[in-house]
Amino acid sequence: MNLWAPLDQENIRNPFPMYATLRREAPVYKSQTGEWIISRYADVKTILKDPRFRSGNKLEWINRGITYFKSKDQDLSAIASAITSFLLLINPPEHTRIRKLITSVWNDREVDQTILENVDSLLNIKSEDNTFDIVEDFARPLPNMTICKIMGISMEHYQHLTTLSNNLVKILNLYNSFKDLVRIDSAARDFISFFRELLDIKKQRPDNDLISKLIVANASEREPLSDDALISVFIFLFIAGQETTIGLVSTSLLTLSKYPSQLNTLAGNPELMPNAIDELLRYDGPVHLLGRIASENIELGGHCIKQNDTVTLCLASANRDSRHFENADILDITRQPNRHLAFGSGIHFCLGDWLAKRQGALAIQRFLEVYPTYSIVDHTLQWNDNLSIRTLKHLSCRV
Amino acid sequence: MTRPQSPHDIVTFMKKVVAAEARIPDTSIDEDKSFHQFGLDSISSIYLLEKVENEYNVTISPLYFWDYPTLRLLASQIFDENFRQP
Ligand code: HEM
Repeated sequence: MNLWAPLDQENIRNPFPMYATLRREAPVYKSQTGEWIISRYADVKTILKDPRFRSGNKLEWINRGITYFKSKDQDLSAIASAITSFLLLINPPEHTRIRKLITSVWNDREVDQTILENVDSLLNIKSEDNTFDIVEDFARPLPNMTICKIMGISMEHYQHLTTLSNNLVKILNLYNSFKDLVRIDSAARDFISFFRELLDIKKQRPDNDLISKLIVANASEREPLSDDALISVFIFLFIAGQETTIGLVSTSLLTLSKYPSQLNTLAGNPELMPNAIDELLRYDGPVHLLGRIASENIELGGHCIKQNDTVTLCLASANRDSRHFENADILDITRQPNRHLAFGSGIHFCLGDWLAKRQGALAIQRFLEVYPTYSIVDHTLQWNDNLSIRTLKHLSCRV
Repeated sequence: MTRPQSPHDIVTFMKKVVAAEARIPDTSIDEDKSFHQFGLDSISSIYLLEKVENEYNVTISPLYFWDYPTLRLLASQIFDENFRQP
């Protein structure tokens, strides 16, 4: 029997039993698709830190796909051009250069004001019957509103960009159908033209936002990035924190509702929030799977991973590994130390971790203040069909 | 859109697609050989599944290509899931 069934409906609802079986029976597992599934903490961390495991199998794959589908008269080239400079898909030295460019200008961490304004405007909208969809009414719009402000994008575009972002982020799924690829391509096309226009405007009149700062800093580089590459950087900065933050906020509120005494403790002691956020990220962080590709033959756990083999790293499984965490399957908002892998590790460690944590903390804290007695009314929870970034479709609660 | 009477109908249809992809006559395709042996990979699988989806108006999980790695296994799964009378 295949131990790897990430699209199975049972596993979409709850993948943790599958992860537990993999960790126990086949921690380095060659799946039916030919990729290796890595599920234990130590192995996942080792691979994330090992430069012989490179990023970017997705980019290579999509480039081959574009050539192939061209022969079927289908043009998917916008996908490649949109993702060509996605930090998480590229390798040094290009990766180092772009990562430096971003960190050199993204130093303004005074985002609390913006986040709180956005949170409060969303929490003020309450339906007549006192129900509230935590995903649609709160978690989904929030990161988008915040990143628009940070990047200097006018709010009138945010609805449109939310839809594009939802579609484009699917490129990070492990497996896509042809219809998915067509939708992704169309989102890529629209994103590119949107940011191309914005690039021209901000070039003329730079402001104090992240996009303007990137344009200015890039222009003074010895070898500046092309406009196409810059646009791809913008797109990634825009989408990287969407689906992920949606997951953090909504899944965390679901998890907390299952641990009422810890929820109470947290509501009464907001100073516990930063620690609680880390624990919620460990317990069920939104990014479950990451991909790498072996650049040479590599021994791991008694197996030989061959050059060009793909490895899939189960972060969410590593974070439940009892070899590393005591009572790994139990939430403990006071857990310390907590070296979870929800943001990855090594050179691709999440660049927006501080924003994600701050936004998550403020959102959950304000939510608990405004709706202290919320109760989940969704009894059959619907999850999106994708374990790479695992998020709920809806989360209805009574407030 | 057509409605297959049996898994065999789906096999026949897929044989045509695979034959065109592999540039071999469909009579030489053995339905118990793995897709790999015809040179199909994760990219051409997307094309094959799309063709089948459109032909029968069904939705197929992209992983089925690997979970049911021969024409016979895949056709049976698609038939059972969508067309088998209870
Ligand atoms: C709860 C929310 C988030 C989670 C769980 C998360 C998780 C991750 C993970 C696991 C990676 C590593 C990918 C890899 O190694 O292949 C990553 C990379 C990245 N994340 Fe996040 N992320 C979150 C929010 C954000 C936000 C808000 C931003 C801000 C825009 C952001 C920007 C990035 C960037 C730019 C990278 C690529 C870094 C690199 O490759 O050098 N993330 N994230």
